[in-house]
This record gives sequence, C-alpha cells and structure tokens, in this order.
Amino acid sequence: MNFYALSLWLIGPLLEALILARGIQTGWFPKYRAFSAYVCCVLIQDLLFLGVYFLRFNDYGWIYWWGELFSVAFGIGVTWEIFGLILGPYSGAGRMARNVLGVVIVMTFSANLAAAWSSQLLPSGTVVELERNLRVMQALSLLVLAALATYYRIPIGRNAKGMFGGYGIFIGTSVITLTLRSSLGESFQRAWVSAQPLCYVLTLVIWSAFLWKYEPVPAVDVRPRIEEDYRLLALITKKRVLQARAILGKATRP
Amino acid sequence: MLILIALGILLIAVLARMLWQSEPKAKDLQLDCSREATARFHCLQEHDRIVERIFGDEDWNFLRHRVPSEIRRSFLKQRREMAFCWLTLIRVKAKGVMHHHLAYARSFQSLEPVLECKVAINYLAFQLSCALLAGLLWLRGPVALRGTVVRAHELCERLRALTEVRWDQTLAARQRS
Repeated sequence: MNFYALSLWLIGPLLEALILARGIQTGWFPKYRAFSAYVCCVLIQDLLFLGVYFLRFNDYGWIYWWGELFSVAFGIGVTWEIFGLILGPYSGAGRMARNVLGVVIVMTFSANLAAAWSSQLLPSGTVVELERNLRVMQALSLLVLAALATYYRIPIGRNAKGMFGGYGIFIGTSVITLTLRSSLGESFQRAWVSAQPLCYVLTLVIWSAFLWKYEPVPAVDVRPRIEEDYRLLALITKKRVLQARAILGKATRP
Repeated sequence: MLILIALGILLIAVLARMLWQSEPKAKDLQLDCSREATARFHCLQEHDRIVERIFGDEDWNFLRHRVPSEIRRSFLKQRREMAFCWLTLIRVKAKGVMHHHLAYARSFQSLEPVLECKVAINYLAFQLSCALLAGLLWLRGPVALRGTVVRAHELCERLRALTEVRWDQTLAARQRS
C-alpha cells in the first residue's frame, strides 16, 4: 500500500472520532441517533479493516464486501433520520415523499428481479452489483427529498443540511464508482482504490464542518389547519395562475 | 450504465448547490400573509386597459407618420421597456401566489399529490408562456407582437387546411384502390 492510500485510510477514523467527540461535547450525539450509530459503526469497521489488512490479508477481500453491505444497512437508518429531520414537521410533504418513494422502490426491485431472472448478474460481480443497486435506491430517495425540500422551500438547518449533503455526495460518488467498477471490472480497480476513500474523506470533512455545533432545524409556524381548507387553497391557486395566463393571452390577441 | 452515472452526478450537483446556499433568514421562513403574498388578479378591467395601452397600435398609428424617425425609435424602445416591466409585475404576482400556496400546503396532512401536480403544471405552463412572450417582445416589440401572432395563427390555419385536403385525398385514393 502506498503512502497516499495509507494516509487516506488513517484520516478516515481520525475524522470519525473527531465528529463523534464533537457530537458528545455539543450535545447532538443523543439527538441524531441513527447518524451517531452509523458513524460509530463505520469507525469500528475502519479499525477492523486496518487490522485485517495488516494481519490477515488473505481474508480482507470478503470481509471488506460484507462489511460494506453492513454499512449500507446502517446507512438506510441515516437516510431515514434525514427524512425525519427535514420532513418531520410537514406531514403533507412527508406523505407525498412516502408515496413517491414507494413507487421508486417497487420499480427498482422489479428491475432488479427482472435482471436476476434473465441471469444478467455475473457470479463474480454479484456483491458489487448488489451494493450498487442498494446505493442507487438510496440516491433516488435522496433526490426525491431534495426535490420536495426545494419545491416546498422547507427550511433545513445547518446540521441536517450537513448530514444530507455529506451523505448524499458520498452516495452519489459510490453509485458512480460502483457502476464503473461493475462495468469495467478489474481495469477500474486501481482508480477505484484511490477514488473511493477520497470521496469518503470529503464526506467526513463536510460532516465535521456542518456538525461542529449543534444547530437544530429552525422551527416554523405549522399551526394545525382545517384540512378541508387544502382543496380550497389549491383551487384558488389554480384559478389565480389561470387568471395570470389569461392576462398574458390578452397581450397577444387584439 | 450511463443512466446510473448521470444519476450520481445529478445527486452530487444538487446537494453541492444546497450546501453552498446560505440558510434563509427567519423572517423569510414565516408564512407571509401580506397583501402581496395573497395577490389577486382582480381589477381585470385595469389590466385590460394597461394591456391595450402597451400592446395596442393606437398610439403607434398616431405617431407613425407625424414624427421623425428618432422619436419613433424612442417611442418603440420605451414601449418595449414598459412591456417588460408589466411582464415582470405579472410574474412577481404569480410567484407570490405560488409561494403562498407552497408555504401553506406543505403542512396539510390531506395534501393530494395529483392536485399538487396539476397546480405545478399550471404554474409551469404560465412560466413557459411568460418566457415565450418575453422572447417575442425582444424580437418584435409590443407594437408588432399582435400582428406577428395573427400572422402565425393564419399560417397554422393554412397548414391545417392543407393537411386536411391531403388527408382527404389519401383516404379517397385508398378507397378507390
């Protein structure tokens, strides 16, 4: 292993420990439970991988991939926590997100089932493709959340923004590198060994910056409303926008 | 493979932009119930008068043969600026309506995805109409705009009539054969 790869590998656990220490010191550690559990899990995993790499190198390959699947499972908890933090106070938008995600998950599973049925998965690349598919589902979930948060102008708060941004960027880079790894095979291995840890260190830097202090999601006035008002609101909005279009139409027609 | 890579790049781009943006101020987060936010497009008669004044050719016909070319050019330039100003005003009002809708709708439990999509598509159609009108204003100016639209409409009607004639001929030829 060269100096660059070893440095990246050692920086990871140091940043993870720093993030956890700041979480305990500033008080967000018990509040963001799934995220804290994920960082703890990844820290233990990194230390384990270091030990296995130097002491039992022959077993490193299969331990690494099963460890990755384990961290994907914990990562689903992080995704869930991010959704809860951002959409928690907005029940309507949260319900919309669940509906859209349900459709996305069903479509993704169907596509994977069809691919497995037609035996497109090669035995040697099965774990890589499995992790890639799980990361794709997470990526789609996060895109749906980003779209809804942008459309409804939902305030996010610094901590949630850091978790969302850092984890999302990590998922995005994982999707790209795992796709290339599964398509190009061993020829991409060298680039992958350099790129993947670098992307993860970038994620840790983002988390360190945005989670340095405890800053919860800003409270906004979400007084309970009479639910029947929603249809009226939507109809009035539609009518007003149609009126605006009609005015535009008058400009072009005598 | 390319679709998945595009998905990854899209996610990274969206979240990088989100991280770069600053947090909104507290006053921006509160629901804005002011008059601007609940802007109505009432007083349509007022808008009709303004639209007729800006886009009508009455003033232009009066000035056309009575003033030097410099004054005509100045008139057209100012009339174009007024048209863009009016278009901006309409856009800002519509944006205020949508902002008000989104600020309230997000907290309703009974939010309906289909109805939200209809509202969103309606607003998107409005924005596209604004962009089209802005393009036509830039190309032809407000005074010539209506003439251009009338000519384009006539051309479409001619093409449609021509297509109908061809279609009837084709059907007749098939029936004979």
